Amino acid sequence: MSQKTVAMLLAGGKGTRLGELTKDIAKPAVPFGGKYRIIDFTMSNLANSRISTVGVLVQYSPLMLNKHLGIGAPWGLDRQAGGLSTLSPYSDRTRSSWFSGTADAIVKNIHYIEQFEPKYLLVLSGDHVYQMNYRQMIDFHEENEADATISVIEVPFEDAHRFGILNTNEDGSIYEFEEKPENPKSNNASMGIYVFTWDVVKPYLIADEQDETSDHDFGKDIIPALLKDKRRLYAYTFEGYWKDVGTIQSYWESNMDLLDDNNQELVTSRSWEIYPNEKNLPPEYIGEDTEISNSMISPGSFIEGRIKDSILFNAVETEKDVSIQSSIIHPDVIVRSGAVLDRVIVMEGVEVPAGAVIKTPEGQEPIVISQSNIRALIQSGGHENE
Amino acid sequence: MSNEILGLINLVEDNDNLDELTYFRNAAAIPFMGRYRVIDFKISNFWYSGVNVIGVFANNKFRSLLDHLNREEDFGMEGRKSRIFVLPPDWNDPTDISRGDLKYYHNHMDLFTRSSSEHVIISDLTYITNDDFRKAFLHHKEVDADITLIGEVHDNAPTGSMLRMSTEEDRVTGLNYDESNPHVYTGVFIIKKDLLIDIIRYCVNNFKESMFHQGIRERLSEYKVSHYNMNSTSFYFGTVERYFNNSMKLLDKETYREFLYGKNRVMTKISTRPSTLYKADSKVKNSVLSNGVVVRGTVENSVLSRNVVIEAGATIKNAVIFANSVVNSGAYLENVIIDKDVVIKENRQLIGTENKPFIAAKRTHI
Repeated sequence: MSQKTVAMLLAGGKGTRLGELTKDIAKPAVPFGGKYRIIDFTMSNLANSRISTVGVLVQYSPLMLNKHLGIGAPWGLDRQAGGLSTLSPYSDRTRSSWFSGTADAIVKNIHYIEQFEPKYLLVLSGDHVYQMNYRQMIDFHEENEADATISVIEVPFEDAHRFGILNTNEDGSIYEFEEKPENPKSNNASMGIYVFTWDVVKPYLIADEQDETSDHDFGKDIIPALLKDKRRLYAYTFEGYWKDVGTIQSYWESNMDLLDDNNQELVTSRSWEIYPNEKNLPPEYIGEDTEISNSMISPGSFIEGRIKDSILFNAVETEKDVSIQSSIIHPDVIVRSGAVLDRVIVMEGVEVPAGAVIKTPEGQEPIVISQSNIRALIQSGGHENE
Repeated sequence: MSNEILGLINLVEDNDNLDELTYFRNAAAIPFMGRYRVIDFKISNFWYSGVNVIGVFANNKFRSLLDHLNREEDFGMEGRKSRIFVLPPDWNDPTDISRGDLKYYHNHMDLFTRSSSEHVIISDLTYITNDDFRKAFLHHKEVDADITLIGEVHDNAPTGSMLRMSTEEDRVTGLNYDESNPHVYTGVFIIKKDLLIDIIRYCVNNFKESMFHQGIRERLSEYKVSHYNMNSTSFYFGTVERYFNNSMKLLDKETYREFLYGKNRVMTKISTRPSTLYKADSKVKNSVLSNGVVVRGTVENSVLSRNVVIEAGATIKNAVIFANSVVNSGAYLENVIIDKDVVIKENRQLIGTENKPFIAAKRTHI
């Protein structure tokens, strides 16, 4: 069954800098924005772009991720032709090994891609928050008769040294790629989203696999190799909200961004809907003594107390006289009466005992509260015992 | 187990008093408690009772019903053989002599004959509970009844529309509208399938118009009719007043929790709208709010369906507001039912009473 485009979604990374949040689950499966998990943005972009052949590469702690994705029904990917395939590391008669790099993960699944005889390969990450029409990027790639197209976003020049920077000619063709340059020539940062002409990139992927010095990474190895051979590489400029949820601070910020009127379309849009794996819970109940402002509250919740500038996920219960401010409360959390939370992230299923006070000191990354550290946090009044 | 009993929701006999709420929709599709529709409770009751095939006799205005019941899996009805069949009136047999709801029973006879179930549970819309009928079914089998009428003892059951049962030991001997009798028949019964088919044939052949009244109620002595009493939180539907009062009663926190989040969690069509947004100046108290709602104003003792917008400076009290409606700033609403896609203009005041809520019909701009 041939498909013009096959999307490969990289969802196997560990997300080390998310600390406690990804201790037991893969980064793309981390809850986000009230009803979602981070990967829902990319999955919904695929659904809305009508790309229906999707391989999701999983590796690190995939239990929750696999359960969440299922056969792709929430995104209309439960299909007879193509559809969603979860691709995990495997062994066969020649080898058994883990995915060791973004390009390596693709190479090890060449047989998956080849069965569709695709013209284009779309490579995506499962940990970005954005709304993007991949169809338009593929059209751009086609119009330029490009071998590879890389999606870029303009970042402030002072931040450019933290990104992979693409230097382009006036027609958008790329002449140079610099990974985290000290003196950036431009502010076009790679978003890690690639369209490749499959027949062109395939030999490069195979050659890279043989190269023992390679990191098997698209940014570090494949793109430079294509550039070296003067292949046709183009930058596709993306305008709009985009965030790579890389650290606890940026995770917290991008959640808080949803409370800003300017960004609310990220989840409220009707023309580019983001689809959660919906849990069919009753509408939330708001109790007698509540004061709620600038916050999001989700189904299955029973709310009392004071909630300000916060995001509460599915089935959260808060008891009377709680005070929750600038915080993110994951699903199935109970906050007992009188507890005070300020700029913290409470992980799935945690019970915050009555009267507990946990605040993140000014200037520090938000504290992540889990089953395993909550006792220590309460004893120290916010600082985890090191 | 799941093949033992077939479900049927009969919406044909409903002569409701739901005014504007049923102008454009079947009574079964009336929104209830935010994201639900009335029929969800019936579907969930049946599913938790071990029923996995449910037929729905729908006589009119069934578009929203067809849409709502589109996906069995939304209702937790998992498994390859789980099905909901909405059965509208569509037949062109010139020799057909059936009348009343017998038209439905007769022309959808395949629902019964194709099923391997030996029993059928049949319900109208009136009685709403979150309990299942497993125990009633066990009783039905234990006493080897032909028919088991499901009842409850209820001192405040609505008058005029709810039949009352007279019983002698386990047998039901009479059914009438004697209000002094608190033993209410809930409109739900279990019947042996072969007997149901016989009764349908008898009714059709004798020009009867109501399967239940003429086939069963008038001929109680001919069958072994048992009864089983429910003992759980319940509500009765059928009039605007009851609909409104039920909504308000369910705003009690513990009643709401038990009824909608208890052991048999009621399922409904899934919605993918985002979490509710409470903006800076919102004041919300004792209310139930659904996905996609945006609140900038004041909300008290109210039920809000999907995507409702309450603008800054608007106040709503004791209000039931259906999906996509907008209450603009400065408006004041009290004791109202606002149907779907309604726009309440700025500074408008609409006030009903507890027994006669003001109703804004679907798509109106007031």
